[in-house]
Amino acid sequence: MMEKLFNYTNIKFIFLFSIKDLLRSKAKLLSISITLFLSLFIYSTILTINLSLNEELSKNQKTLLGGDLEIDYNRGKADYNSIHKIKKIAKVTEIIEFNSMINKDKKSIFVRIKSIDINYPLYGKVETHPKNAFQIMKNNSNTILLNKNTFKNLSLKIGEKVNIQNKNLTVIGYLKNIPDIGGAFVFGDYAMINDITLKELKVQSLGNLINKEFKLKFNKNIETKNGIKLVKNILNEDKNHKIKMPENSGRGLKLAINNFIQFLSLLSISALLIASVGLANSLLSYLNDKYISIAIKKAIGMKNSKIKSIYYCELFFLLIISSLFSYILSLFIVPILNSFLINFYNIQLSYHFSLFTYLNVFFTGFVVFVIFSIPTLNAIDCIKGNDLLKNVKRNITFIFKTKTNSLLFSTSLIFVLFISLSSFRPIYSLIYFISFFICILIFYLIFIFFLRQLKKIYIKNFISFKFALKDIVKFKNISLVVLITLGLGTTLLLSLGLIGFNLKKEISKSIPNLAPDYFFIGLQNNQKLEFINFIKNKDSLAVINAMPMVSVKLIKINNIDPINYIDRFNESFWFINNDRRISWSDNPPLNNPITKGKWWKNNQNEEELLISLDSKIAKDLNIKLDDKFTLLISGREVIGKVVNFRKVNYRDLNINFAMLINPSFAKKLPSEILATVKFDKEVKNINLLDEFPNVSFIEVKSYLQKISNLLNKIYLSISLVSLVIIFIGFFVIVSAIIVQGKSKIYQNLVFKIIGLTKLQIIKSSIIEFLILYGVTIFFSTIFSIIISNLAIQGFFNLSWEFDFNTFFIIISFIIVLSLLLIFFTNFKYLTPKIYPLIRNE
Amino acid sequence: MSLSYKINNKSLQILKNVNINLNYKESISVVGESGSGKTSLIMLIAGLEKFNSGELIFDGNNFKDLNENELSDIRRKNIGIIFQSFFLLPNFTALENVNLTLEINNINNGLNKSKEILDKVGLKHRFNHYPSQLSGGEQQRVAIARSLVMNPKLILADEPTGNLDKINSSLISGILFDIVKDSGSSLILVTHDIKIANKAHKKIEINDGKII
Repeated sequence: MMEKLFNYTNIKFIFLFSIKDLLRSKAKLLSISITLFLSLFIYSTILTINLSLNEELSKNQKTLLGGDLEIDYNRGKADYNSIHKIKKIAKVTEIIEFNSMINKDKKSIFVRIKSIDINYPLYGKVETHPKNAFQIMKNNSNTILLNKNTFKNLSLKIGEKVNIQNKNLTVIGYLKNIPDIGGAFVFGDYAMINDITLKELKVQSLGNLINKEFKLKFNKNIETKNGIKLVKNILNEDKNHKIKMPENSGRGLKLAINNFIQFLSLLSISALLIASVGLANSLLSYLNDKYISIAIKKAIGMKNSKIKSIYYCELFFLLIISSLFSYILSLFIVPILNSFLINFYNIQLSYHFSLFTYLNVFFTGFVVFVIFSIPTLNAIDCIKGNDLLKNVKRNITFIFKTKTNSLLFSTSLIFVLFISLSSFRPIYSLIYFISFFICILIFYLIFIFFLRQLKKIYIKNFISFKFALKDIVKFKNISLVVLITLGLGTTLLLSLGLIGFNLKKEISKSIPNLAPDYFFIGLQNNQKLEFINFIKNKDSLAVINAMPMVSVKLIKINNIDPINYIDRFNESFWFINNDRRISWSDNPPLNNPITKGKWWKNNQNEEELLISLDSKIAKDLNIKLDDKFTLLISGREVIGKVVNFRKVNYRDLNINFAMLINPSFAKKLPSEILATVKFDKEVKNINLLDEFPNVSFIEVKSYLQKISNLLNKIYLSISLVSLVIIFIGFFVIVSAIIVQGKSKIYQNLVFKIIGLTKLQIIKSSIIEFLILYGVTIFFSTIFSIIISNLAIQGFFNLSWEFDFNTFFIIISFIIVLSLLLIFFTNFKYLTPKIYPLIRNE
Repeated sequence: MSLSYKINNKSLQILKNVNINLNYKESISVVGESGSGKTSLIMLIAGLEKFNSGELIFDGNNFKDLNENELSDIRRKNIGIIFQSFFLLPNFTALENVNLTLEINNINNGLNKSKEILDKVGLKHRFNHYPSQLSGGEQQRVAIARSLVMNPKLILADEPTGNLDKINSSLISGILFDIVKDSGSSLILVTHDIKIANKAHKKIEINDGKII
């Protein structure tokens, strides 16, 4: 049979016939095309944006890093002899970054300041207002450039003076864009000064979080590869440095993009899967419309396989057109996105047709196409040529054969593995898909149970209710589509809504309640008492927490370089990546319960270094009790023993150290004080400038506001994608209900003939809708409560709360929108015109 | 009664001053060429279509004065309709199709009655079969059973044998007349088959919307 099917005449016939049929049926195939197009469009858009962003980051990685290579000394002492040697093979720029308060009149802002030399920047361009401000700042000491936000917040004018570290600097303009945005520099408030200005400032304290780095641009006659080797040889003896390559630039940015893209991809795949349920339904409706045509084809001797091949061919054409169209259209999203990015990051993304990305979209569409079309097109087997003679038109339904089931299972498995393995975090994707399919299975089982219960219900007099129940049972395929599609869509939207509410609540309510009002850094040991008095003068009931702090560098874990201990994408990579500030305490901090091991005894006089570690870091880094850490403390390498793990709750934004050491060891170390203050009454202005000119402070409220704004932006974009999914879900539901409506025209005609009133028919449809929606919303609510609870409590470790407003808004939106859609699309089916139907028109 | 439609702003007269009088337990056959207005007449009497002028009095109710819901009420309780195309619900079994009429009349324990009437039309062994599993003759018998199960005062049959072969036609018409006779209902039967038409008490012929 296969041989016969694959001969040239046959293929030509199937090809030409399917094109003709496709052209004839274009109106009927519209809903399939739109559903396919919409779902593939979202997926294409996400892939296109991801590709453009990653290409942009790769293309500009040297600009983002600020050189061909970066030698990072952090707070350590730079080896200037080696740097001089390097200057023979490369142009070098020295950059020092530090944190400080910028004061103007009584206003203070905590900023990250970048000190640059005459060679900066090696790659890219600094854009300022006025245009020549950067050159002026480079050549003149005691001048400063601020980012636009700080410039505005301090209500500055060009030429005015600001105070930094007790020194007045002239503001000569503001920064519009700096090229090396690879670090976290771009996310906060920042400023730029030249190296001569820096020398005049007294920036030394730990609290200034000083970072010294050298960026290199190799001479033209030196190849980058060889240059890197030469630099590594020169710095061979220097243990204080760390080399950063261009590919590691913008790590945080890449991580954020990858995580966000993965999340959006999973949402878009969900949309695709939800759409596939609708596609199957629309296709079934299309075949029901083609019932007579198929019966005639069979009656005149066309084989089942040939008829199916025609429809497969039609769908294949639709898939090619939809995927191509959706992919090409997705390219046009990039210029729209550019208009936002240029303002925010000064990034302009480029876009081009990528065959690989298109094939990805096509393959994804193809797999979904296989999943939805096989059981649907199998329904053709039910149509018999002799149906024409019997004057019978049945409603055909999906057919699942053993062969089909195994094909569907393997296709779904390939699909899930393909998407998961190609994603940034395969395990998370896999968990998501497993949960997604479990959700479908649960909704399916609920439906089966619900159907059985409905059959048992006996209604005596309420005709509309009785017929509503009968309809759900009789049109079980369509009811199932509505329940699963609506169920998944509602669960997704409600879960996101509740997660969003709880995160926002955390930022706007819970954290501010727990968190201190201010952080103070840069306090010297001898200033502690003076500082406490200063605060108590402002508010005698203020809660002050002041802890000693020293900077250390983790050199080895169990004698192994930490870089070789974990990969870069480990959640606790931050712990080993930079210098760590550590503290000491006689007793475990109140909000840090010991999870394993024992706390050191008070007044112990031993000089051995004992370490208390955050249990999450211990888990991520696979650290056991008694493991050895080699720390560089005040220029001395010391080996310490991990003696206990603490559950550190960073959520309260109090002083939380990942690493604490025993006071008996720490007592001789030179240290600074880190302090937090929570005022009892409102203290509007903390003017430290006169008494503590070198101390910086951070107002927690303003930072929380920044986080809250960022969170709102993320939440908005997630909600928009979710809304598109819901829209697809609605499209699927409406198409399902149209299919049901079409089947019901005939049923409603019969009802009318045997004497059911129009009102009873409409009432029956509304009751049916209410029963189905009620059950779906009930279970979706339960699922979304479980999912959001797991996410908030299990993943984010936060407290969870049910928000009735979120629930009410989302559910009302879904109900009102679907009621309107159903009403407008189905009203004509509720009251069929009898005459044309009776005459078989 | 008269009935006309407006098609493309032109009035098309379907029935012109048709006057029929039908007594209880009486049967009338209506014959005529295709397009003469026979089905339209059935639709008017069933209350499925509204006439433009005249009066239609059924069991003391003037259809002119009744709204759609009241007409549905009368149809549900007192009129059984049989069509050439059967109009059975494909997702319902033979028994469910018949019982549906009882259910919408709030007769909830009527399953035995439905079985009884299906038995009468010779479908005892076909209770749980779906329309697609029945022959054309059998489907029409289910449609007859459905129209008779409420013991209606009037049965309207629009070419009930139009889709059937000779043997089945004779069988169906026999069943129809026998049951009508037994149950005491009145019957209006539209047919092209003169033999069947002659079985009725009265025979009228419609041509171009008029009784001749």
